[in-house]
Amino acid sequence: MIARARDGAQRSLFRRLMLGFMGVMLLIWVGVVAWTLHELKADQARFAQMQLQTAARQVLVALRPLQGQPERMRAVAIELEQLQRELHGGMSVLLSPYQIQLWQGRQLVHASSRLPLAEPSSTDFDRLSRLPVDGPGWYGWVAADSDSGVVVRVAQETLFGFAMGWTSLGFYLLPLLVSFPFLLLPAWFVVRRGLRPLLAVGDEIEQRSAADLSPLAPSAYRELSPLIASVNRLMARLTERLAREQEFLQDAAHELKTPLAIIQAHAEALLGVQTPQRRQQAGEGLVQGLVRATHTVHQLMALARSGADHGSVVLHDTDLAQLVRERIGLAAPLALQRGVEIELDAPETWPMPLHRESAAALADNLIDNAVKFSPAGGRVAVALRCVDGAVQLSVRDTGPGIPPALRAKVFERFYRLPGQDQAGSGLGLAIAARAAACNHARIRLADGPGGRGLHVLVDFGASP
Amino acid sequence: MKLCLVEDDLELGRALHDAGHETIWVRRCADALYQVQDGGFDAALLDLGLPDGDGMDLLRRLRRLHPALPILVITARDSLEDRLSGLDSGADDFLVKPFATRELIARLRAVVRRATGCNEQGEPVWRAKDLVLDDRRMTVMRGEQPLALSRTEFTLLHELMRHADRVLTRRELEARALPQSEGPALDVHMSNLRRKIGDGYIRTVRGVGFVVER
Repeated sequence: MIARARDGAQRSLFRRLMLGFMGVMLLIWVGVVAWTLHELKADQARFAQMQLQTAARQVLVALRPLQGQPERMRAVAIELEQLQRELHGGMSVLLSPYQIQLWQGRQLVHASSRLPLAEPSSTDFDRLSRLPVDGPGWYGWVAADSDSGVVVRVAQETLFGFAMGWTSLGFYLLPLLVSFPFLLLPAWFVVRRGLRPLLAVGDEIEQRSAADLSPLAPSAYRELSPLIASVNRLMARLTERLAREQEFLQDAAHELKTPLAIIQAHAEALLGVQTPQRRQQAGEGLVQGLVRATHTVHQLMALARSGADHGSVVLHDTDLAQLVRERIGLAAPLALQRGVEIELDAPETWPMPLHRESAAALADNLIDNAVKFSPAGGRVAVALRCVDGAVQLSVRDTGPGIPPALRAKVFERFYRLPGQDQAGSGLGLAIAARAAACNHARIRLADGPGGRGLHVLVDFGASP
Repeated sequence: MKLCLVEDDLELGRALHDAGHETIWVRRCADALYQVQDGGFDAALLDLGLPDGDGMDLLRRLRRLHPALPILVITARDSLEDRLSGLDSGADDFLVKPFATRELIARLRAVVRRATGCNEQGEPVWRAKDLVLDDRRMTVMRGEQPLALSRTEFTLLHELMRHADRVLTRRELEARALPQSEGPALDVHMSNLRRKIGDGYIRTVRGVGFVVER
């Protein structure tokens, strides 16, 4: 498959879905981690308060009998700290050993080396405070025994810093890493499976032969229906177009048979006859047949070109007046030879968006027809004017005209009016109609001046 | 005329030869360049579909090397785009297959005439019916009678007779004969010219231009 072969360069729908899924997981993880840290911080403060408050009161109770014996008070404090280290020496998130500072009156009795020696201020009593210590930081609690005059500060290292540090990254990353395979593998499987109907449609189209333009089977999935519907519409257009071209090819081959038969007849006559006069006639007949075949081939080419998808034709600003003037200039010598007067009534310039080639084909066919069907002494009047705000090209002749009943029929390919003695391919008006459509114009047929001849009107800007 | 025919098919060369023209026939681009270099051709006929290269390419090279050589392109490609790009690449005229040999020869004469300013006898003399215009002597004769034309009238008639059987638009005539003026000046000169040479020579295609029939 082409899509698969170009996997490297192309973006992948599968990857897009998987990346999206992983992105959402990452976002949730970041959210959970942030929430956990926030909760941890609040919990730690709460636990620290409970623990430190209890400890401070206990220390005061334990020291009350030792009032006035600083040495013994210090020994008890050291012993308590020792006990703490033994009990909570291992790092835990919520519990850590506390340190003690003791004052008797204003005299420092005991202080753990890691804490600042500043005496507690009056606002520090009976509340959780943060101590100005470098590193992760410390919580402290100050309590006083009014009877004995002993002031105690119990302090504990906050473990929040540890919780935020790189060392704890594994703690948060672990759930993510563990859950990744459990979530991604099923997701990979589900997305793979979910995309399978899409790949199946691709395979179905890929396996088609060029001749098989039947519509695709409707999909069981709602999301695929628009895709399948548009592929089917394309198939229908292609089918129609192929049928049209097939028909055109058959018609074209058929139409060439007539001049070929004429050529064959005269060529055989040329080989068979003896008298110079007959030979002359056969030679002329041969040339006539060739002229007719040539004309038909040219017209078929013109039809094929003018019939190109006129949705895709790009219109450029072109001077329609100048274009018509040039085309009449080319047709005029032949018209004059046949004694047909031809004239143009148009402004000097008339720029408008046109497809030059098909506009020229349009003008040529209308002018050639008008000249061809005008009798000697006849007159062809071409006019370019503005009618009701729209540009109108009109070609009037003084020929036999077309009966109203047949005016729709003459636009069909290869249709020739009954009893018509002028040689022609029967394609002129078909080409003109298609060329008009290319230029967003529409052709109408009407009676010529005084009910005589034909009046062809091309309305530009009309919907085709 | 001496012609260089660059074409895959022999029949056309034979037809030109039968029509009394000295024709050198080559089938490949390289031969064409070599032959034309030797010179002496009145015109080159070039088929765009050649076995050893793009005819359009050859056309451009010929035009670059021989700016004055009249080149007529014959081709089966007949879309307007093809014709325009052919003319842009330096072709003097374009003829689409199939065509009548007579038309080919007439077109050849026309491009040679236009290129040299002479008729096919090599004289700067143009004829239409009994009208004879001599470019070198600047004279116009109707039958045996000389006509006295102004310079502008002479230029107008010269243009029309050089391009006999072709309609010249008003714009073309104004550009070539009356570059300074516009408006009704052309009609005034044309009516004077007609009065002097008589009726039946210059025909008006109303709204388009003028044509002299041969």
